[in-house]
Amino acid sequence: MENQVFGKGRLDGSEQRFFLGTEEVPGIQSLNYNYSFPFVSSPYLGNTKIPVVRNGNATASFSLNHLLISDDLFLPYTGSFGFNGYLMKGRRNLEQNVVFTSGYLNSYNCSCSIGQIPQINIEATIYNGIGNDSFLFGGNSETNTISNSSSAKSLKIAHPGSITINLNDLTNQTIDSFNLSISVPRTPIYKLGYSAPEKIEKGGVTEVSCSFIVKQNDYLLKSIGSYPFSEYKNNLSITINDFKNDINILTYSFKNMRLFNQSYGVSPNNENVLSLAYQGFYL
Amino acid sequence: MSLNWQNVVVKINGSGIKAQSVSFSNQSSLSPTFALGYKGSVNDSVNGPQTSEISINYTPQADQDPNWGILNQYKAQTLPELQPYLLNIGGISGMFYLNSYSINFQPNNLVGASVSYRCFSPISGELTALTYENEEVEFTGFFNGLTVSVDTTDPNILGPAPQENNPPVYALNYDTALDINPVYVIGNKFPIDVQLNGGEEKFSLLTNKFNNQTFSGKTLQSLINYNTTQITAYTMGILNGSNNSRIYINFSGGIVNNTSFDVSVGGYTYITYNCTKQF
Repeated sequence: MENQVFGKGRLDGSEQRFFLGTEEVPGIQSLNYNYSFPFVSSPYLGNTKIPVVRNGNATASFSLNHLLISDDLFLPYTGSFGFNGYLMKGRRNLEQNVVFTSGYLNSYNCSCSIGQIPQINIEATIYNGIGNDSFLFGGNSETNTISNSSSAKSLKIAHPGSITINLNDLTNQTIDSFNLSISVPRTPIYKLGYSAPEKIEKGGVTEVSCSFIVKQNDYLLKSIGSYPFSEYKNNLSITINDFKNDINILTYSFKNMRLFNQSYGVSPNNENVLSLAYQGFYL
Repeated sequence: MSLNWQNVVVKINGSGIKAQSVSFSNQSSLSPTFALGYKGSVNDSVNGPQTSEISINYTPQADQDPNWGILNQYKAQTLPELQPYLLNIGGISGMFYLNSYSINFQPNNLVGASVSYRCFSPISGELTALTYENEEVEFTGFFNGLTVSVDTTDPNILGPAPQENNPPVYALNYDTALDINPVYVIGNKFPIDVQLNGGEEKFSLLTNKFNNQTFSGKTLQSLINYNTTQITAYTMGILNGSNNSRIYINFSGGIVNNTSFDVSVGGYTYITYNCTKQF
C-alpha cells in the first residue's frame, strides 16, 4: 500500500515572529499563551437545566523563552509598565496572528551555564484582551509600524569568557553557572463597569534571587549559627558582553543581596560542588 | 418527605426566582408555666404570635425579579398597611411580608442578592417535588459588575457609560431593612393588620478618594463629588443589545455616617463610604 500523506504541508516556524510592541524579539525558543473564558455554572433550586454565566476576570498567561543573542527587551518591564505583544504566524493571513494588550511581567529569569548561550525566560499576565488580529484590531494592528525587526538587528552573543560576575564571596572562584530570577508581584485594580482593570499596581516587594554553581576552590562555608549577627550582604553585578567585540549586551546590578542558601556536595569521582544562593528585596 | 434541590421550586407572587439557597423556619412562641406543687412545668402556654421566616439567596434577573418590585412598592406606598405576597417554597406556602433586601456588586462578578420575608398567619401545604418545566435561562438576563454604570441615567445608552467624570466605584453593596409591625388585638390569634413603620437603606461604596466627614454629615454625592445620585445596573444583555433591562440604586439624600480605609503591604487603599437613608 502506498504511504501517502495528505494535508497542508509541513509546519514551519520560519515565518513566525513575536514582537514586543513594535520591536521583534529574536532568538525565541518557545512561546505559550494560555487563557480560559471566565464562566461558571449557576444552578438554582427547582431547575434541571443549568445556566452558564460570566463570572470573574478575563486574563491570560503568557510565557516566552529566548536566547540572549541581541538586546534584552524584557528587563525594563520588571518595573511598573506593561507591554503589548504580537505573534505573527505568517504574512499571508494577518487575521490569524495573535495580539494582546496590557501584559505585565510576573517573573523574569536569566540563566547561563558553561557552553551555553544565556537564556531569558519570562512569565506575564495579560489583562486587557488577547485574540486574533481581526477580532481585536480589525486587521489594523501594529504590523504596519514595526520599527525594528530581527533582520535589522546585529547579533550579540555572549561567551562564558565574556560574562563578568562581581560578588565578593565569589572572588577567585570557578563559576559553572548562574540563575537569576526577578519576581514582580502585581495587584490589578478592577472597578465596576469595566472588564479590564483600571490600573495594575506593583503590589508588595520585588524579590531578586541569584544562585551560582561553583566548583569549590577555597570558599569558606558560612556558619548557620552566625546569623542574624552576620548577614553576609553582597553587591552583585553580572555583565554580559558580546564575545567578539566586547559590546555590552546586558548588565544586572543589585545591592545588598543576602546569602540565604549554601549547598555543598562531594563524591569520590567528582570535584567538590558548591551552590550559593543570594536574595534581595526591592521596591 | 425530603426533596432533592432540583425538585424545590421557589416562587414569589407567582414568579419563580433563581434561588441558590433557602432557609425556612416556623415557630410558635411558647413558655413553660410553673406553679407551686408541681415538679417541672404545668404546661407550655402561648406567649406570643406564631411566625414564619424565610431567607433566600438568589441570582436576580432584571425583568423577572419580584423582590425588587415588592421592595419599591413598599417604599413608595403612603398608607401604613402592607400587602402580603404569596411565597411558595417546595409546596409550602403562605402570605409573607418583605423584611429585608440586599444586593452586592463586585467587578466582573455575577451579582447575587438575598431577601428575607416574615409571615404572621398560618402556612399550608407540604413538601412536594416540582421543577420549572423545561426552563431555559439566558445569561443575558443576569446582572454582572461589568455592566454597572456610575455616570449616567440615559436610558438609551448601549452598554455602561464611561466613568471618567466620577471617581471609580470598586464595589457596591445595598441593604434595606424594613420595620414591619403586626397589629394584634385581643381575641385574635393572628394580626388584623401588618404595618410598615419605615425602613432604612444602607449603601456601602468603595472608591479611591478620601474626604473627611463633617460634624453634621454630608450626602454621599456631595462628599465624593459625584455628578449623579444613582448607580445603574444593566444586565449582560446590554452588551449586545439583547436585553435593555436595568435597576437603579438611588442614594439621593443618603447621609454618610462612616468613612474608613485599611491598607496593608502589597495592597491597595480602598476608601469605604457607608451612608444611610430612611424612608
